[in-house]
Amino acid sequence: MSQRTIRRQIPLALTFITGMIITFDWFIKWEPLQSVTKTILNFNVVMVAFMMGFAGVNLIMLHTRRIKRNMSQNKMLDVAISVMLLACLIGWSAVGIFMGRSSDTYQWLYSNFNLPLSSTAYAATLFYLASATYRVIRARSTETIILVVVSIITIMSNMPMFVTYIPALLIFKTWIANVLVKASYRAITIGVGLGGILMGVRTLLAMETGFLGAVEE
Amino acid sequence: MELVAGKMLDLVVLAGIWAVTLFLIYSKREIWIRRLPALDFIEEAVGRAAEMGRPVVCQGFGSGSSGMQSSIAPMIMAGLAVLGHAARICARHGTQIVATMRSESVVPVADEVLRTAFRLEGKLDEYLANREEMLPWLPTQAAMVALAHRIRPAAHIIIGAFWHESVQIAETYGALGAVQIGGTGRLYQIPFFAAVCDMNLIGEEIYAVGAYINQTPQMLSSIATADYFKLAFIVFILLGVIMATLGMVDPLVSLFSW
Amino acid sequence: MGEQSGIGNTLANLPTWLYFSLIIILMAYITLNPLGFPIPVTSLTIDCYDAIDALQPGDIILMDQGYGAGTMAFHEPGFIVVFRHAIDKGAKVVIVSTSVESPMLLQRAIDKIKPAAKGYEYGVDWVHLGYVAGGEPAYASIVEDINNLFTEDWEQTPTSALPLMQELGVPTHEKIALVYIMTAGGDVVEGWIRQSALRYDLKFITQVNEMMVPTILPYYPINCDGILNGGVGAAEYEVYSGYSGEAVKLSDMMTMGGLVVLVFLILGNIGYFMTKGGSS
Repeated sequence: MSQRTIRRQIPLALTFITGMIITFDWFIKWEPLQSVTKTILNFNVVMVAFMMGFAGVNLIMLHTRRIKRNMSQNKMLDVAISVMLLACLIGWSAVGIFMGRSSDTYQWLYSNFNLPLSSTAYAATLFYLASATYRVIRARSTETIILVVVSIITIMSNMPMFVTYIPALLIFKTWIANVLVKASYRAITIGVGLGGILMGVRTLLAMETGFLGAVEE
Repeated sequence: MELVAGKMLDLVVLAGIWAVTLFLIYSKREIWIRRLPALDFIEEAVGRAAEMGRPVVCQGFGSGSSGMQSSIAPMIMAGLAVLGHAARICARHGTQIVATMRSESVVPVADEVLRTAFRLEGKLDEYLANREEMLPWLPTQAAMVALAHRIRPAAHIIIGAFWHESVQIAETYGALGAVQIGGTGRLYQIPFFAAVCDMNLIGEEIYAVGAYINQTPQMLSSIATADYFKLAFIVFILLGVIMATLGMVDPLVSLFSW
Repeated sequence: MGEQSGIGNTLANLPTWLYFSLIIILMAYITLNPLGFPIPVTSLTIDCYDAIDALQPGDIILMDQGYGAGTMAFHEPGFIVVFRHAIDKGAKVVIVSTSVESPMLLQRAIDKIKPAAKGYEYGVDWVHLGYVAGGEPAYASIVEDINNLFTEDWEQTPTSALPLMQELGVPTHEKIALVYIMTAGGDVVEGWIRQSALRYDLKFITQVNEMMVPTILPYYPINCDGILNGGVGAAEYEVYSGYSGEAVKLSDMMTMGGLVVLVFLILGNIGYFMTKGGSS
């Protein structure tokens, strides 16, 4: 069996078959088809879980290479960062596997490391949002003037403080949400939905092979 | 075996999409699609990066734990098509390209896309020598922001699926002076990209990327099909508005529950 | 004019450290000294409340506790207040997680809700099944046959030993009265809407970030019966339902965050017009 068959034809055939099964299952009520679909969906769940393990292995390989390279170039800070990452990855996994994910140690690690770091990263969004709003949203043209006015109304109407004392804000917000936003988002959703369906058609017909990693020649 | 109730209209529309696509492919009709300035701008952006001696950063593949298995897979594939296109231009100009991704399922695919792009330009050795820098796996937005400060790219291509991290990422790269080409099908991020990026692909334009770059009859046929159906939906909506205004709602309801 | 353009120039080009510092100071102040602004309740929240209030004793709610540490500040109060309301209605709750971190955060919320103190028995009245990978195909599996996907719960108890799971049966969607999704991911909500509300006409409510609400609005009110607008929505629900919670306390901080963005938007434009006026 040639490389081309293994690397292209078989994955494309599998894609077509599974895609058609899932598509038909949406429209047809037939016990054998539903059973096959259920199996495929469960396969998907297992494969995704497996990919997370693969991600961990990939990370270990990448950072081991980096440690070797950075040590030879005497970049000790980069070495320390990679070592810390690997220590966290391996240590945390070991705690989860041997002590269990419900153990006090695992909970402690999560509550004292992951929780504050994730919250901080998300909270930092406010700084960048304020920075972008300040730096970029300037009323340079008619469209941007409308953008600024609508932004001000929308921001104020999302704040209980203003809505309490200026009830008219809610009327504007409701009108903007129910007329302008709904209409435009419905239109874009239809377009994106159609685009997604056509992308699916292209994938099933082997016209879109991006997921195989090949650039069209 | 029976049809699921209320799905006949969906089936007819889907069958119609397939039929029109296949008809357009086999009829070999000349199909023209309008310019997408954002994609044309990629060459300019890479040229700028080459002049400045700075890298190009390409992002957009997966978000959170969503990857090729999720409903955002079409957006990821669109991002990969842009990555391949940008990578070829970068290889031609001798500019470094850095691709970052948040989803593990995309890593081998993106690696293959980059490898192929460099091979087609005859610069596979260059890619293999710099491979780690070209595929750092950076799982958080903080890391992507740190990358910006570390390598100071001249161009930033951010096309794909994003959540809140796009606020931080696009703002950081913009503040550092990179020209930005943005695009996403995630509706709630489009306004932000429109405000911050120099050039944009809005909504379904990202799905036309593959067709625009390759211009093969098959790809163009699918774009034309989408447009024909959008036209049909507009007519249908207008008809529905008129019927609803005239009080003829029952035929509409029975059509949708057919 | 020179002086004006000087002020204008300053306003238009404030250094980053200055406005970042202002943000820190203002947010710290409001955290330590909440001002207690009143919270008006909007129709989106009232619809969510009505959806839960319409439940009968024994009805089953499927909850996707799909939030992480980043959005926990507002999702957790939303989860707590809806769970409390469900307990008061006698509805049973099945919790799944589509975010990797969510199961770790659930215990914090359960410790605040204290279902056992209200006579709610684990396995009979509520279950926690844990994280499920797979995206939309996983949601499809959940509403089709949840026991096929989850053979054990988060504590690794076989679902065959949990009466509530046996009650769900096949197809699962026939036993679900309401689906409640908490997430920061738009495609998660849309995926759930497609697989539950659109496919099987299930009642559906959700709590999402403020910026995602416009994305879900097209589905409201036909396919989505109510939307909690992030932290503000959770605060409104607490006020409307009468349950005291964290969201009301956080609403002042949310107001201040919005105010900060508003002030910088206005400042930037004032500076721009002043410099533009000077140059023209």
